[in-house]
Amino acid sequence: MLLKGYRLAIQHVMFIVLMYGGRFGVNLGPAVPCFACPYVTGCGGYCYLMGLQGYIGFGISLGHFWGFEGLRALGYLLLFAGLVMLLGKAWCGFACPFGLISDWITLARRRLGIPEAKIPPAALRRLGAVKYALLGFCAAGPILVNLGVLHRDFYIPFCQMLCPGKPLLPLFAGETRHFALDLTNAATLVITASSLAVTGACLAAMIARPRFFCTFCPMLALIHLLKPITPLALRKNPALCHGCGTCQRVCGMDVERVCTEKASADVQTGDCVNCGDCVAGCAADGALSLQFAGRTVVSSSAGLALGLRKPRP
Amino acid sequence: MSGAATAGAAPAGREGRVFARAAERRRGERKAELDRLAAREDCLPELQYFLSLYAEDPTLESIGGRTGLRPAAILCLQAPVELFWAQGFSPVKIYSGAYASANLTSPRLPALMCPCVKAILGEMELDPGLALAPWAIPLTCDWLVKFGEARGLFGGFSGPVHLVEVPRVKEDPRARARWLSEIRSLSGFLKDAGGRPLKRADLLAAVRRMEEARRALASLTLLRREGLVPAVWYSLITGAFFLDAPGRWTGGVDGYVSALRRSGGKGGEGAARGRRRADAAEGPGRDGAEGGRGQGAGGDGGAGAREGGAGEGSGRGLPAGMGPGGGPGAGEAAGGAVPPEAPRPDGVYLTGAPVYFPNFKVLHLMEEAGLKCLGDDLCSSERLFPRHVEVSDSSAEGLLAALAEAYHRGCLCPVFSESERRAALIREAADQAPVRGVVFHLLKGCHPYELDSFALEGKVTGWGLKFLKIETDYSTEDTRNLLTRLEAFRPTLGV
Ligand code: SF4
Ligand code: SF4
Ligand code: SF4
Ligand code: SF4
Ligand code: SF4
Repeated sequence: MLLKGYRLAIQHVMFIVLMYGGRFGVNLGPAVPCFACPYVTGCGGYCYLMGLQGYIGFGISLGHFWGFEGLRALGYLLLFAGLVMLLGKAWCGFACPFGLISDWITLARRRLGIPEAKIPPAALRRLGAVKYALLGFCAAGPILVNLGVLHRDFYIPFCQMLCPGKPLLPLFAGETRHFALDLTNAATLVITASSLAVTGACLAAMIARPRFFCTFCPMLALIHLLKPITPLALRKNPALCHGCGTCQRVCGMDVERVCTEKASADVQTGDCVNCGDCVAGCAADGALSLQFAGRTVVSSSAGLALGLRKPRP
Repeated sequence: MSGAATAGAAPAGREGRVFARAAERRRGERKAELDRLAAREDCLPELQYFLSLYAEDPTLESIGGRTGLRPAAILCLQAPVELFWAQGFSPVKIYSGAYASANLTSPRLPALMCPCVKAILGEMELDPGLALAPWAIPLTCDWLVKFGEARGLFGGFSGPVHLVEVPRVKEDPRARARWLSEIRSLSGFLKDAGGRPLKRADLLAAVRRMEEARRALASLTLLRREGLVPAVWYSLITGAFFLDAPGRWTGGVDGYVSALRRSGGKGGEGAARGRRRADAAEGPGRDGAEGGRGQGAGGDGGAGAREGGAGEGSGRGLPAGMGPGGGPGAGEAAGGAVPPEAPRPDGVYLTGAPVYFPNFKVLHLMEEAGLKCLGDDLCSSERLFPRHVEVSDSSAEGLLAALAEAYHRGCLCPVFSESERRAALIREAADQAPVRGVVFHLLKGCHPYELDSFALEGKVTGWGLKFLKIETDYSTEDTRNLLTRLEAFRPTLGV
């Protein structure tokens, strides 16, 4: 409980920073590894997915890949990688504004005692592959625009058509304009209709399941691709695990391996968002831990799970 | 499975005299144990509450009177107690360590039948009221699968009986789904037996109440790892859980924990922390075996230091992870500033078949042999109920699923198809406390535990711990023998 309380507090601080930081002169830059959405006026950082699409699209169309634009794109990529190295998937578990909105909805559902919809773990794992397809779409979309296959209005297609952050996040800055259909031309109509349909479906699914969208989020896929250089990781000592299943049950992403793994210390799966809920819920001393470069940040224990002590390594 | 309604009729003639003698002996055994405990120097006033619960020789009726709820009998730990409370029952695990009770039914039962089961049947003979209550019997080991049949030899049940079929393959999702449906049907049984229909609010309240009990027991367990809670007291306390309302029991445990802290309790979880972190950092898979744990004396004493936790873990050339603890934060669990710890006594871990009041023979003998029991994974004490039920989905369905999972998937009873994870609790205790050896308590006739003991021995000796298997029953004939073996075990620990 204590650990979850800390996480929720950090999430709220990051929500304020990333959603409203710009209004106070705070900006974490153009390559933030979570949904700090530039569609939000006065946001405190820019989601790298938009940048990624933009650099690919504009880079190709302007033929600037080898010039200043190319260097800038590389710089942003390095900045992104640096931020991922700093916090890894804790960007998702502790910082992402969209992740927090999802958690709010889940908290409200739980308070109301509405049961969670279940998806078999195997099916969920298969669905999880969609995030890599969407990441591919983020890269391929702008190229298709440049090749003339897609209309020029699809210049950042993932953001425009598929990301539920685009309509939902600006709501918290009082902006409702992304909830309208744009009838300028057929392309804008398709874009806005698709955005609203995806957002509606996502919202419904987020009510039914915690962190539903994260399973499909291309940002999570991108961060996971950097796993080999990410120091923050969820680790397990299987010799201390008695297989109670708590970790999987409390995991919003329903990561099965964290419970079933019996040999390896590496339980940082593609779907894990490093929220630490499993560490907080596991009552086996030292069975699960969040580690940074091999040093324990927090580890599981009966005392922590039962609220006998404060979280500590 | 309701049996003939003969239970309740007091036997007459020769049989009646046998019963009377058995009842007298049983009373004597209980009294002797209680007197022995009360005479101990470490019998703090806070333990009187627990002693008094046993002293009144509780019956289901008296327990029902205390809790204000109708009692229901359970065997084994797989029936979630929260469900009973939520539906208006007071769950009472029926157990007995009385030789007189086991001996009473023994002549009409297989010679090599588990004495636990014989003793329960004996208790039912001596207290006809037991057969009148609703019974929920999880079908764990073969003796319990046949418990109803065995009881049939003595007149059966008069009240409603529900068999809870426990899937033996825990890791299989299909088995888990079956188990959840078993729990639902248990809930249906309780309702049919006169209980309330299951409501979310009641279940949530029961889960919260139980978490308080778990928290209290966890505090006690932390002190136990510090060598401050003798095994007899720990077992007496856990055995009393079903004898009173959970709130009062929790208060009793909290009172004892506070008293221990006042009388020199040395904190909690700092022990061997460095060691543990190093383990988590490496994890099994590094060496393909068990977390890269050092093998044998001095193998990995400085593991804590490797992770920058110098001074937090072991590191005195003791078997891996078994040095004196006392890292930063020691005492935090105890809720106060605590002076640096003195080196803690070296000890052993008790595993295997349960130990039930009044038969604390093994616990006393271990003490006499100079072995300090710093932990156990007996279903009669540390494993009495799941350590924690974390609730994320607090809908009625979610609560039920959480309970079902905690009581089944998390259960380390040897009756399941695989016991690979059974050593986890031993390993954990060895990381928390200076455990140097493992005593495996085997009851004659318990095949699941016996089979388990072989794999377990390989595992724990691989970690550098010594291992001793003792096989016994409820009689006192083997006392001398056992003591000699336990005494011979002590020097092997390097104490
Ligand atoms: S729309 Fe979504 S992907 Fe695009 S910038 Fe906003 S949050 Fe990121
Ligand atoms: S995976 Fe979830 S938390 Fe992470 S960036 Fe995507 S939406 Fe945010
Ligand atoms: S919660 Fe802890 S003990 Fe339970 S299965 Fe997960 S890692 Fe193992
Ligand atoms: S595995 Fe643990 S850290 Fe990862 S998402 Fe699930 S609960 Fe969070
Ligand atoms: S000790 Fe063994 S045989 Fe006896 S009831 Fe328990 S599991 Fe069954």
